[in-house]
Amino acid sequence: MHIMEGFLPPMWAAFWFAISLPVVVYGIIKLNKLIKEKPQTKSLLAVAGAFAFVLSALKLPSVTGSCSHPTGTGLGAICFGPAIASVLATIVLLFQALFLAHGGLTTLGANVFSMGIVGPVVAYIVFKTCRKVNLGVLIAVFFAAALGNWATYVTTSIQLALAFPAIDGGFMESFKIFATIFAITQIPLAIFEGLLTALIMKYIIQVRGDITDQLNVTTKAVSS
Amino acid sequence: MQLLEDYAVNNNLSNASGKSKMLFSCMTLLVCVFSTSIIVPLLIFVIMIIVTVGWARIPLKFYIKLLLAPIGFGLIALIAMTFFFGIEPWFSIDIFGFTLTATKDGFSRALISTGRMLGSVTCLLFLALTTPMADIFVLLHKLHLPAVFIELSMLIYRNIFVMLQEALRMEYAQKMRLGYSDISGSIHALSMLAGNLFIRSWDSAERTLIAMDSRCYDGTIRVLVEDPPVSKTFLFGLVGFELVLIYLNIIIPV
Repeated sequence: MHIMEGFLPPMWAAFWFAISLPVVVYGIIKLNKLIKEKPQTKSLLAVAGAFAFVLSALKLPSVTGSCSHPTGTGLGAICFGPAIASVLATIVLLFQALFLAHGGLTTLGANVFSMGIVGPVVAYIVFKTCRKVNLGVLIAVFFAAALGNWATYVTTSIQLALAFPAIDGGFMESFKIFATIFAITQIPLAIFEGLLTALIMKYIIQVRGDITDQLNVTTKAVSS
Repeated sequence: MQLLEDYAVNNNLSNASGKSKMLFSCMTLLVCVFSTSIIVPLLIFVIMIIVTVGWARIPLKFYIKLLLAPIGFGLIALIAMTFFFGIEPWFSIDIFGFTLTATKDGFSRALISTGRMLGSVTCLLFLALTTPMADIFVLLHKLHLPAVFIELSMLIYRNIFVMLQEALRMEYAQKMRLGYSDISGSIHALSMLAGNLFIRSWDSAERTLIAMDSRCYDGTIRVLVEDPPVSKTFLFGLVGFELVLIYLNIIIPV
């Protein structure tokens, strides 16, 4: 769910930049630490970022008539944790704006917040919770990706509703309208993305189980 | 698969100073986002199309295709906001027993935000279609963004093109074998493609890393930066142009 370039009023665009910036900075600090400890992760992170971009560039076969793109942020969050996923998402969103004209520069802050912060955090929490209650990896991945996508869509609706409140009814009324319009495509898409991410994970585990072990995805949930 | 970057490295303006192009598009973008009347964004919309298509020689057909998505999005926003976001009644229509009332103030609000959006999109398209990513990396460096962020961006940039080609090859192969013939087949084929892509790129990243390590890679990629200064004439012209737009914005009533 990208918000188009220039659609947000300048005040709100600046507001979302201010909210997203500290999280991304925190992600960069964590990233520096990770790279210092394990230098080999850098190229693997690059692969994950490029993977998210390429997934979004391939057009999904349309389900509801609209063409949408899997975000791939769920996978990033499950593999690397939400802080680092937010840095990856920022870079991927920048490339999406400049290579595909999806999203934009002024709305980058808002898009990073919905797709790079809220989505991954929800996906990560859902994944960890599912693993704690002993659900299978693939089921956990499905719920994480689907709910992460859904959280992203709710966040985008909130962002639009805050920027364009209805005159009578205000924020709530406006939120209801945006959420209903998006729900038509987003509810099936979230399920679709969940299925897709789970199947991707299935292939990866089948062929290269050592990768997922290395990233602590398939290992049993340990209380941290 | 056509990325905007393919045009950015090969157009009439790709050798022009990167900094000038970025100044032009970013300043115009800011003016457009802050404008309060509908005239200024529409003016920017027209000027940017003329510059991008006429001067940088981006094919018009490709450009129009890029504009279709924002225009569609704009129309939906325009309709939604006209009917739900105002109080001053304008006209009403009946659909399946529901009476929908269009509002005047909702329409004028929608018109401004849609106009701003369209103007900004053309600014972004100008930047994306004329400026190679290498120039933008130079700017990110100048802005003192963290080194690890820029380096990760560069690595992702390289990986994107490697993986995209691989993905397209796999997609052709799948299509030859009726891979995307129905919805369940599509989900299956796409997930197989994505899973394989991840594994193969992981392998190639590991190999690249070994190759880099054996050539004394210490965590930084050093790039020679050529960065000619922006010419004074251009700078004056640009500031004049933006001032005219701001002036227009002030004198035209909302």
